[in-house]
Amino acid sequence: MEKQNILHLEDSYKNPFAHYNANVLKVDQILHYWCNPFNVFNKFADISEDDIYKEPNPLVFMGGRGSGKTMFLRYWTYEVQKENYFRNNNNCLDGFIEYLNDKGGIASYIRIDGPILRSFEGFNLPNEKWKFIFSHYFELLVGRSFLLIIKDLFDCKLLKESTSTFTEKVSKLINANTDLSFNDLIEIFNERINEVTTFRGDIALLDVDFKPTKSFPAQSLSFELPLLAKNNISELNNNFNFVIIIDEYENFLKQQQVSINTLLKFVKPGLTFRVGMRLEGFRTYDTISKDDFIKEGRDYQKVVLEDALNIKASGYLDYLKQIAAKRLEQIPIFRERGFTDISKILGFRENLEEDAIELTLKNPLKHFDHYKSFLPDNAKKKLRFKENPLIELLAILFITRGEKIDDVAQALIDYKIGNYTRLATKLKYDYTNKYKYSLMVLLTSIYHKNKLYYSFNTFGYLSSGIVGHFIELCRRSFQIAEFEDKNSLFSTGLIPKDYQAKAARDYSISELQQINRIEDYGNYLYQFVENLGNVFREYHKDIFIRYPETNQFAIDKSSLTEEPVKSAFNSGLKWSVIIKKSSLQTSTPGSGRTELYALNRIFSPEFQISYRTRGGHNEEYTTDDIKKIMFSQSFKPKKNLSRQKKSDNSDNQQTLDF
Amino acid sequence: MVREQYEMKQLEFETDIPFSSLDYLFIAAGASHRAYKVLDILERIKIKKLIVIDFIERRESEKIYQEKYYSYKNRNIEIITLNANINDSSGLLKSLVVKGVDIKRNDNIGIDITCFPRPFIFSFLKYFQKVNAISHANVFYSEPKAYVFKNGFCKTFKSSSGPIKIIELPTFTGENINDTDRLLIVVLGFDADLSKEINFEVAPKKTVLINGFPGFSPKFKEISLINNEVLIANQNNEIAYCKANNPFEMYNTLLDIYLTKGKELFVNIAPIGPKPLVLGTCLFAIHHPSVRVIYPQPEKYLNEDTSNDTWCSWYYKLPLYRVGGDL
Repeated sequence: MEKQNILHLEDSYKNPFAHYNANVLKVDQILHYWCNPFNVFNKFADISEDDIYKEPNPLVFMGGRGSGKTMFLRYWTYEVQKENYFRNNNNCLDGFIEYLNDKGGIASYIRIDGPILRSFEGFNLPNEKWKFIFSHYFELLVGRSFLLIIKDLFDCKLLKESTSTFTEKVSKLINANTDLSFNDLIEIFNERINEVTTFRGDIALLDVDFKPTKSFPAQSLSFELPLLAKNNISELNNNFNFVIIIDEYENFLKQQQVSINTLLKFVKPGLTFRVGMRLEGFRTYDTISKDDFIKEGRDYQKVVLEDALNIKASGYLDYLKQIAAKRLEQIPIFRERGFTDISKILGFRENLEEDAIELTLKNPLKHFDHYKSFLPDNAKKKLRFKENPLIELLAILFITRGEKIDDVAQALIDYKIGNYTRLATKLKYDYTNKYKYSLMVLLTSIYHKNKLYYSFNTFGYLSSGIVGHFIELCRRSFQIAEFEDKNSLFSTGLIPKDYQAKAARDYSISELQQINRIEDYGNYLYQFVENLGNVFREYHKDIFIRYPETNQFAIDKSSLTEEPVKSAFNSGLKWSVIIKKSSLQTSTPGSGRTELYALNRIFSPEFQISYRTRGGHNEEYTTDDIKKIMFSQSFKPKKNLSRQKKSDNSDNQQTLDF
Repeated sequence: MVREQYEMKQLEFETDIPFSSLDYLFIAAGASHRAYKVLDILERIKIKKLIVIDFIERRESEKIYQEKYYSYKNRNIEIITLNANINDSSGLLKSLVVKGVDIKRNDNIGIDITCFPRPFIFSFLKYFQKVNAISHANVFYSEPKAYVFKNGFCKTFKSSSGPIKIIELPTFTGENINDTDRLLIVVLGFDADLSKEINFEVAPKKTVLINGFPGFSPKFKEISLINNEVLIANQNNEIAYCKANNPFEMYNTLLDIYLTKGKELFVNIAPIGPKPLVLGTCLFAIHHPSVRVIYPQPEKYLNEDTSNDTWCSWYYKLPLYRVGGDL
């Protein structure tokens, strides 16, 4: 019986991280997987949960692909809120209207996919005409969406009025000859939407004009229907808001954004917008009025998810843990066996000492040979520290920086027994606080192996604030574990580090390759990342570790005025290939504060560089440098990283400590 | 269910050709070994007008092969050369009549799709059906014998380079009146970047991957599976197989998926695989206007670098109307 049960549990296994595209999650899946960031973070993105419905100004949520925008936005939709209320209210909708009034409104989610949006241009039709057709189409989509919600409220008998009071008014609004029922109205909306689809199909082969049965200019439905609802449905209180959620706004063409920007600018009481887009997702700030535009703060409030979902933001790792737990709990075998803590399954953090020992096992003295020309003959004997090859490497570095071998050898002995003399203290301090990670990267380089990127903490870093990256890293790790040793996964609830590392590296390579295909300047961005990754790699391979963990660069973005450099750089931000550090920082010790950028950490395994922000040296670039990085086949680090140590090492920040 | 018998033939000899004349034969100029093989096979067939689509981008990139590229001119046929932009099939088709290509309903039309970019195959066949009301098209295709893999690795294969944008193929917008969830069917090619991007953009509820198997040659076996490993490994995705040189089998495979999995879903098909399968997809989409055809439009096609040498040439009689039911 027990065996049968085990078989059943194993048979029901599915990769817990397999579904992660929030666009296709069903309502119940959204509720299963939902982690409320307002409950996890002390102050999430400087907004409160109340603002979702009650804030009258539009809110614009910006974040990279996979940052969780869609999941976040879809959670607030009418369908999800209704189901949530139903479940929490003993499968009953009594009181739902009061709940909505209390929350502050209802939201309708609009996503128009890229191929459709892109079909609203060209074919020798002027942009102005396409703008009108799109606006008409958008009004119909929003109108239908609100109509479906109101119909549902009536169908669920949550509203007292007779439906005809409302439908008569809507019939008039759309110029219908007779008073129509909800179903008839929705059918009419469908037909009108189909008129647009048919036109989009015909225009490619035929010279046709767009002649809709009735045209719907901007606001005629999107603003008027909510107003009509508020005026005619007594249950909705005065402050009730109809919220239009638009997702993937970065895909909207420029002329389409002009139309929608105008709506954002002129929101009225009772109607507002929540918009999801990538960073730099505004193609334009223009509105249809030639001398007017939308402005952050005045016309909308910007919420950058990556600022909130940051490894340094307290709560981010907890947030990831909760997200993972929700998924793991869905898998019977994990739920039954209590394997629902992802930080235990992956291990909380890397064990660099253990990795170093494993790495050097077959050839334990290779790193000594690597520094042969800098070391006295007895170095292998005197600096041997079997317990930790990283300490050995640090000791070697001390020699290259002028310390005497006998002093370093003694420091090693003192360090081992806890007798913290000057040099032993420095050894301990440098190892723990400065170089441990760099030493590991360098050691793997010396042994011609790849550094292993694994553990929950590492995956958190690699995700760069993009939850989707974290989920994909987990998905790949579970997939490899299932393929390689399913029994072990099920019996121990652990995933070995080499499986995780393979997952991280594969994903890193895959993401890098995909840059090439980015619609806006993908080829330039690919070259940019290749060159920059290689520059940072050079720093990490520096045998003297003069600039540990260099993985950021400084540029005054406002100086990037030339095209296509400016647009390509913005595209890098939009696609989260480049990440802007949240505040101005000093690029090198002693220099002024400037804008710092980093590569998305997901590329770290491919370039074998650090995923942490270490501080210290950052590459400082000019506009010309950025051009060269984008357009040339190779680019060299700014600092001299030769194997010959300069006698004048005034720019070597690390020797200042001696 | 009413069924219609399909007609396809491997072309080895002139006697394999089931007609004696064509009013129009459409070909696309190219420097590939395969570009004019069908033209050679049809040497003794009376072709009233040879319409050559000369893609500006391709002409520019193949300057070193000029002689080969323009070798179609050495034929004793009336030739109309049409300059075209590789991303604008619509502009070309709308200008056909003005340029002297005024197709009539009863004309016998031939089209050699060997060097046609995939979106053009769709636009042309739809044009023949919708604008010219042609009942059937005679379609030709010459298979590649080998593909060029950079550094010899099949994973390096690219059919295009640079950025892509996912578009609806003109006139194949489909119908998604109720904004329902999507079923994505990807006709797999060797180029993995494309399928991943399409899957993300369409955000389907379900994805079915169609692999051309058996391939044109046993040595092509499993390359598309290896290269599209990420999508294939996704437990939510299904794989179907279809013989790589048979558009009609493709049609039936799509029909089966459409009927069994496509109910209540908005069916999206991405034809990025072998041309005969693309042809089958095109025919299916013409017969089923509710499905949408999407395509990753590249900034640049890699025309002749991707394959070399010629294998078999094929003839397909394509019924553009669903007169007798499904094939």
